[in-house]
Amino acid sequence: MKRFFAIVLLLLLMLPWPAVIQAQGQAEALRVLAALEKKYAGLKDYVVDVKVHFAIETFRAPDLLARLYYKVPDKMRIESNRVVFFPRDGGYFNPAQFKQEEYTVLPLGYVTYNKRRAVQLRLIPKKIKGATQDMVLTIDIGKLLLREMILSQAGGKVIKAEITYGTFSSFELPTVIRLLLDLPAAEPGIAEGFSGLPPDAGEPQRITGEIAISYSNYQVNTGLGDELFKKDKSQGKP
Amino acid sequence: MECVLKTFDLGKRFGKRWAARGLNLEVHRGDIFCFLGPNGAGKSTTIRMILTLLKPTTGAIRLFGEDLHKNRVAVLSRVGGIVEKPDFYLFLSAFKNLKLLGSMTRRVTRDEVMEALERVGLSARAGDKVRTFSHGMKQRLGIAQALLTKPELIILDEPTTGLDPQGMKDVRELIQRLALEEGMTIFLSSHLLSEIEQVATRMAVIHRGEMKAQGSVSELLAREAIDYALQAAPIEQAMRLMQGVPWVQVLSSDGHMIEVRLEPGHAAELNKLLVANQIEVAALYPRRTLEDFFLKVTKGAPGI
Amino acid sequence: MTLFGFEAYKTFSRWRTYISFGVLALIVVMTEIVMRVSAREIIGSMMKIFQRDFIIAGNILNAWFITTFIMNSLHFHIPFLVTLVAGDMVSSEATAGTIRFLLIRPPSRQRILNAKYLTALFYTAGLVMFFAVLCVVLGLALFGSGDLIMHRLGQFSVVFIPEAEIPLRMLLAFAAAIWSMTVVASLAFLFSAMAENSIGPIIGTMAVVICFLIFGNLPLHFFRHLKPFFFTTHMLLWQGFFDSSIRWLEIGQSAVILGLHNAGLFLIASIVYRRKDIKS
Repeated sequence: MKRFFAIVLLLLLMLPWPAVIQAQGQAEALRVLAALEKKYAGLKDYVVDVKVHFAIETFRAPDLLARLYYKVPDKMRIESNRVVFFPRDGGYFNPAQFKQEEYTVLPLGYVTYNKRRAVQLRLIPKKIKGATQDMVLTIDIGKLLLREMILSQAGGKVIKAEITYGTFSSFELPTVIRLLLDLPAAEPGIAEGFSGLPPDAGEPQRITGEIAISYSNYQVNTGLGDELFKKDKSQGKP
Repeated sequence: MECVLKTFDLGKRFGKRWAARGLNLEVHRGDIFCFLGPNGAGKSTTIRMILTLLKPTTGAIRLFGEDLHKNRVAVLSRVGGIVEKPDFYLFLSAFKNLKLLGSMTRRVTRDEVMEALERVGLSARAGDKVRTFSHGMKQRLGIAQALLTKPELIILDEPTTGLDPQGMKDVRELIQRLALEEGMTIFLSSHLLSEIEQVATRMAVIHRGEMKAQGSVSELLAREAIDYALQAAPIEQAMRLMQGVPWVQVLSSDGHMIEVRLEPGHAAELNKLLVANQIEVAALYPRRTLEDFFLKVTKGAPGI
Repeated sequence: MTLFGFEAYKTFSRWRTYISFGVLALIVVMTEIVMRVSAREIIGSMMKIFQRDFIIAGNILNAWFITTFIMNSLHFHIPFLVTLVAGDMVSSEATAGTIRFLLIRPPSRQRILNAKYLTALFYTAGLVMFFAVLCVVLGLALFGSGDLIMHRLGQFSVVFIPEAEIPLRMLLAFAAAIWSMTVVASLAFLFSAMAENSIGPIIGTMAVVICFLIFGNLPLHFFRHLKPFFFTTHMLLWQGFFDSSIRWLEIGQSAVILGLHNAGLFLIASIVYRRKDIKS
């Protein structure tokens, strides 16, 4: 009998436990993403006033005001009677962007975020469309809220988005998104500035800073027409 | 007599070469003073110093009794001039050129400009751009600009260069008129001796930068033995009479005219002698020209 | 004042004076038309570094952006056009022979030179003002107004200048540009006072400007250390008016250095000209 239990124990030890655990984590991750998607399934569009505040040494701008229009799945438009630089990635809330079929989802584990239990997921796009090559999401499991997002982009750019929410028309939508940037100071291959000189040894090689986007006056599900999002040359993808 | 222009030991050196040296010029009020010299003698250098274009290496210049460099504005506002070629702003009209240049001395009216142009026969071309002018017309325009502000002293450097015979005659007459009728003093440089002979009252000769002679024309020409042409009747009697006079040398006779050489200052005496001996003197005039004089003094003869 | 009027009248009576204005108009009109036609391409290439990360809304390619863009070439083409006239200002009188009529007049050489220098400065100011008015007026007609976005090509560096602040800053920048161009005029004027023909001063001035620009931009540390002493470096003082907060101290320093250049160059020109023998 003793021998039998020993053999069973040995066999159990020989089972691929990490794979089992990973499979369980994968399932949990997909379940969280699906729940997140389901939570916002009723959000068809929104209009919101945004204020963009820059705190970057080399990006000196006053607070920029604009109106943001969003419509599922990925239509977005910025409108302002003045010039606005609006962060393309992480700058606006799009719950429909994490479709499971578009990413390889890897669970990174559980963390405590603001004293709440959260799961960290790594999403690798199956087909890279924009600059983002990889993102790490921190999702509050209890509230099903995306709390943090770290975007790793081509050229060594890293953008971290921290999201604070409020409730508008029964939807929890961002009131503030803080983007923490860590970017190379110059475009690769272009080494010249006004002076024609390459950056001096004293000049910073990387730019770090923060962009804080405040959202107010949400209007949710007003039935925005597609014509509003007709290709605007100035806002098109690069 | 008032001295309008006086230079003291005036000299100019370019490198090691003296273009003018030790010049002591004197120009009196009302003179038509001719400044003679072959090409490269230093005439233009001297005129340029008088008109402040060149800074003298030695000496001083006094105009109207005042030092030129200390009282430039006061002195030069009483002087008009042309130095060498009359170069104007080709893209402006004759009228505008005179108006602008004149206004650098004092305010000039339209009538004054037109009067100056009229004097040189260019009033009909007042509105034409100087680009369209011939050299002779530019020369006349140069004289007009020199006259424009009605200066007391006019300095003209080769004013008839490029003019046709009629133009030269006109300029000569104008110069004489300005001196005689308007009391202007004219300082004229030229190497055209015939021209100077006809207008000059006083002159100076410069050669290789140094002064060779200065004085009134008649005085200078009368200082040396000089050849005369004599037309007298009866001619044989005149010949016999003159052969016994020590200061007369009969050179030739063609039956009508006798050529004689007189010692300086005896022309009037010869005339008197002939008349006193009942010989009728139809003509007695010098055969020696300014040219002879000029050639003599510029061939290394000592200053006169 | 009479002498200045005389010099100004002469300068502006010559058709060659207007070549500069014509060339400048051609440069501005061509640039603006090409920018209008290729607006998207230009924005794309200029804002490439930002378009990956930002959605850019609003009228970036506006009159002010275009004007500052063209102003960046200010230190190449305007010096040449300034030199064409300033380098000819004194020497042309010697070439044409008119100097003989001019200098035998009662006014002293210094006064005549002052009038000529003032005219050269007046022309320089006129040229830059013409450039400014043309850039802005044509720019407003073709591109409209808006906030001004200043950036360093290829660098993650942007300065936003609100539309309301732009006219005053533009005015100050052009005043600074005029001041910087007066140094080129002074240099050309000095050469002009020394020479008896116009080609020498024009070529000489451009040679000096180009050499200093090249030395100042060579990516060598030796020249980087010397760069603060080049007048061409300070000629860019106008750019200080397009920073987020105007760099008054740096602008002031550059303005003083340029002013000292002007004074020095004019002083040398005066000494040379007063002593000069007119042999032509």
